[in-house]
Amino acid sequence: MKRSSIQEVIPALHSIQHLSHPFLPQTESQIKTMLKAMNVSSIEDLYSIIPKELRFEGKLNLPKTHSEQETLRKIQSVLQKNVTTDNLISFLGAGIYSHFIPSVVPSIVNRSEFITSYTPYAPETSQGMLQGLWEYQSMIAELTQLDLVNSSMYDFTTTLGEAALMSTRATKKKVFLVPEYIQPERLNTLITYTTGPKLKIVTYPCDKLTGQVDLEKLASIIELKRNQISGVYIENPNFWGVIEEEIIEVGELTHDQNSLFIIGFDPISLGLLRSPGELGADIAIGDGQPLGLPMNFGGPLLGLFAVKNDKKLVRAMPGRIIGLTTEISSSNRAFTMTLQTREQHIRRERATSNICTNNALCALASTVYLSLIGPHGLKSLAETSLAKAHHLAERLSMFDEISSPHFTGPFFKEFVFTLNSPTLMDSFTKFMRTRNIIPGLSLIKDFPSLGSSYLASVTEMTTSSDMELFLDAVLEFFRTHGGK
Amino acid sequence: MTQFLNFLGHMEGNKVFKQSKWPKTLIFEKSTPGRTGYQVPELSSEEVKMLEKAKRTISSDLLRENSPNLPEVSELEVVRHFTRLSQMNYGVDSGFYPLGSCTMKYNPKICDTVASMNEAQNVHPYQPEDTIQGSLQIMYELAKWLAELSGMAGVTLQPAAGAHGEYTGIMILRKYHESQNNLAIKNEIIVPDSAHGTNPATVSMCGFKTIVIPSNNDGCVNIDALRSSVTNRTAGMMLTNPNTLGIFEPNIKEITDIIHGVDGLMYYDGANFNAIMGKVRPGDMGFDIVHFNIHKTFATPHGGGGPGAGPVGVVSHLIPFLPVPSVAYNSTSDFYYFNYDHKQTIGKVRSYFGNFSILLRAYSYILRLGQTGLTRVSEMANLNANYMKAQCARIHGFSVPYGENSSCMHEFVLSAKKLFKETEISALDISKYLLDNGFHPPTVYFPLIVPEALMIEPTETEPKEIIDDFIQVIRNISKLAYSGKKEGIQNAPINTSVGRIDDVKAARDPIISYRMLKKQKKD
Repeated sequence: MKRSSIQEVIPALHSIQHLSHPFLPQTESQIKTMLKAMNVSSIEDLYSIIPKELRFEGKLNLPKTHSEQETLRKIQSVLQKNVTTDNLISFLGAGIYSHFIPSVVPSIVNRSEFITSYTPYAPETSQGMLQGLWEYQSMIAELTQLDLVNSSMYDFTTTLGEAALMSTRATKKKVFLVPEYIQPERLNTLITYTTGPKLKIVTYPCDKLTGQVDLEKLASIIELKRNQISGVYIENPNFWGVIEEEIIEVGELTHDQNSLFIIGFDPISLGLLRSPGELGADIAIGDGQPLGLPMNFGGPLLGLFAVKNDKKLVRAMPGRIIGLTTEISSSNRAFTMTLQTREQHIRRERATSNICTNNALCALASTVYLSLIGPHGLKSLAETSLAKAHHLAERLSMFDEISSPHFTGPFFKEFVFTLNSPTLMDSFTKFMRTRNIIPGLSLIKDFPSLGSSYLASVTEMTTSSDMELFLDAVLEFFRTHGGK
Repeated sequence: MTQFLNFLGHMEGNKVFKQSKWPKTLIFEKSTPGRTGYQVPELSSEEVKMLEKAKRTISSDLLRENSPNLPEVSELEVVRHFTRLSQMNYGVDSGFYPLGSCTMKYNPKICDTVASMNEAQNVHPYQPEDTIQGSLQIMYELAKWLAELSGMAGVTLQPAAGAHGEYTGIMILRKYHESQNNLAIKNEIIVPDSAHGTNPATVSMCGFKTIVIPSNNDGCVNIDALRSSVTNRTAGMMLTNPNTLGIFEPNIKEITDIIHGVDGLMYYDGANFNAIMGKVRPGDMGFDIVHFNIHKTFATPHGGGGPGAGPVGVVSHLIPFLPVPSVAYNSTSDFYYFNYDHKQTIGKVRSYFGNFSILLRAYSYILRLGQTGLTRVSEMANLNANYMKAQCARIHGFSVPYGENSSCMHEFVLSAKKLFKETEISALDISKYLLDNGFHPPTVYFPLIVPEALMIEPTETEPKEIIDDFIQVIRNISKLAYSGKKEGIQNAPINTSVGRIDDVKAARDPIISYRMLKKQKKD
């Protein structure tokens, strides 16, 4: 670039409106040259094909152009109205969990060669992302003990929808069984996803005492719907945080019907609990958010989708899949998108799903995370959550005014606790709020039969002092609110 | 001078660009038992006791026997592995990425900066409303801005990507017809033959039948074919405008009138919205439902395949059908809140409220450009595309079969049909040779109606010098092909981290995880 003298700089400052925007490089003289090269007199002429009566002639009611500095200040001032979990003692989980994110994860994922790339349609120049996604598939396969994994979906919820649709493609049957005790928005999304293809969603109950599947009732529902069932879905741990001790039996009942057995899982739990593959799953689904992704107010997340190695099932899978192959001219390894004839850009209206953009960068983040923590880290994280959750549940159980845990079944990192008084919930929540404590997800609206219950989640982020502050607040609450 | 050197580089056997060629060692193959890249804080002695007690509550047949076979590597090994992978990848920050229909524009860094703030990241979606006023305000304002840009009355920010937006939009269409007691009859949706594959795939997922209509000689909707396809079974039509050929449908008002005439709804696929901001709005064209590809028009990074965001806008009488919740504002109390009061809602399409960190980036992008800047974005995108089209159409062996003599919008489709016929150099060969010259290739072999298609979308953020370099490579290809010096093109790419890839082998004998690779090695 030519060096400017001071005299040249000063007039430039006065005529600053003539400078181009930092994102729009063409100068006025370049614009003229380009228009001339195509025999067009003005940019406006490029829009002459649009009928005049349709043209938008007004001014868009949008903010003025903000400089970077102004943009940053504006957004900071808005976001400062949020209270972050750094400044709360939060026991919220229910599908999104606060876990520690090692610095390596954002440092790698934000490398611009990754973050500014598109879907790897040109594989020769996209080997980095392709290998990363192949390693992602491989790690989820190791966690689930299922060979076939796609390279990501949007979130747990939509992944459940896709699993239900896959079960009907693979079995040609139209009834899908789910626990009535799953996260309500998960059930509602499933209902939306199965509306078009006209799947019938049938729910089955849990045992009121254990919080686990009521196997007898499930068996009678299966009997009632025999020969119509495309799949049976169960979560382990389930929405209450409870481990399903009869899950293998559920799988056997399912396979007796030649239906697909689908298990929803928390990836962190697989450091401790038996894998979906070993429990007999044909499909395992989950959310990868706990694997190195911020909570981000609920998105983006990472839909995990793993399938048993079966020729019929692989052709019915939704989503992109990365394969390992070689160069044409050598035996050197190379990665590429494969089995694409299932996908919308080839198969169009007969595709297994409409998914195109997925959550690749989130998958890469979870790959970096899993590489860092390794098998021992995963086990240790699972054990830490287990120990801390049990510690909190036991301490809460010492209050006469609280039933903790609500269910008798063994639990992992989440559990339900209940205020024995049916009228204290509002004041309990409000009192805790004054102490910057969120005691968990209130279940009163969606599951009124559980009474004044909260679903509490505990991870390695929950410190001993967090728990003590919470327990002190509970003690104080009951002292001042008519308890003992 | 720089330009001249670049030019020489291209002429003298691709000396300009070289991608790293690190060995393709898997992270699993770098594993050494006993190593780790992470430390979990130690448990207190009380917690250790609790751990043993808690474990005993779980029966042993439900506990994992063998730890998962994850790699055991140190922190530096992880950093180095993935850094090397990044060096074998190509993004917009690496160079020109004229991938048609994908709008690979510059992704401003300020947008990543704001998305990485604690106040954005460390917020749980189930927190009480008074603790999430910042996030709610961002969503409320962004929805309003998108409505303004598209001429719609209401917008949901929930859909996770463009195709998910299509899904949400067509479910709204479905619910609308259901509310009119018309769903039993209205079971067809019209899609042009030039449409993205996601359109017909979405139609099927929502339980409708796709009716494909051919394009006319100008690449636009064939009005006669449309009229003869429209019946009382027509539930609606999905259209991209400008279409995938980069051509604005001049008869759009007639098209929307025809569909509305049978009580069908018009769906606007926003893949090409970058061409028209501030110039013409889908609402004014007669569309009822619109999706936006936030990761295209609003510059959020595509992350090697996602995440994106696909908000959906609707006209006022469809607002009751939007997924719940939307974000509302009470100006009296200056309070933002979730509104679940959409009487005929399609329900939920995903968990929580949307891909917030992506939406936040779009919010900051709109602030950066503002009212006048966004219109300028579209103007410059169209200028760059038209300039490239005019230059490329003149190159021997190439043509622009649709819209050669009229203006295109933000992209155009170049055909190498003649070149292929006369020299056997195909669109695929061209795309590989472009790689060797440091460019990401255009979208090839799409739309399906153009033989040897190269779909080129330069975007507004590329300087003329880069565009000229690209055009020069296309000229060189033509010269080399017609002078019989084809080896360099046919053997391309050689400067990328791998050469041409055996896709047939990948599909015939799929190895899609390390577990499968190990099993194959055993066999």
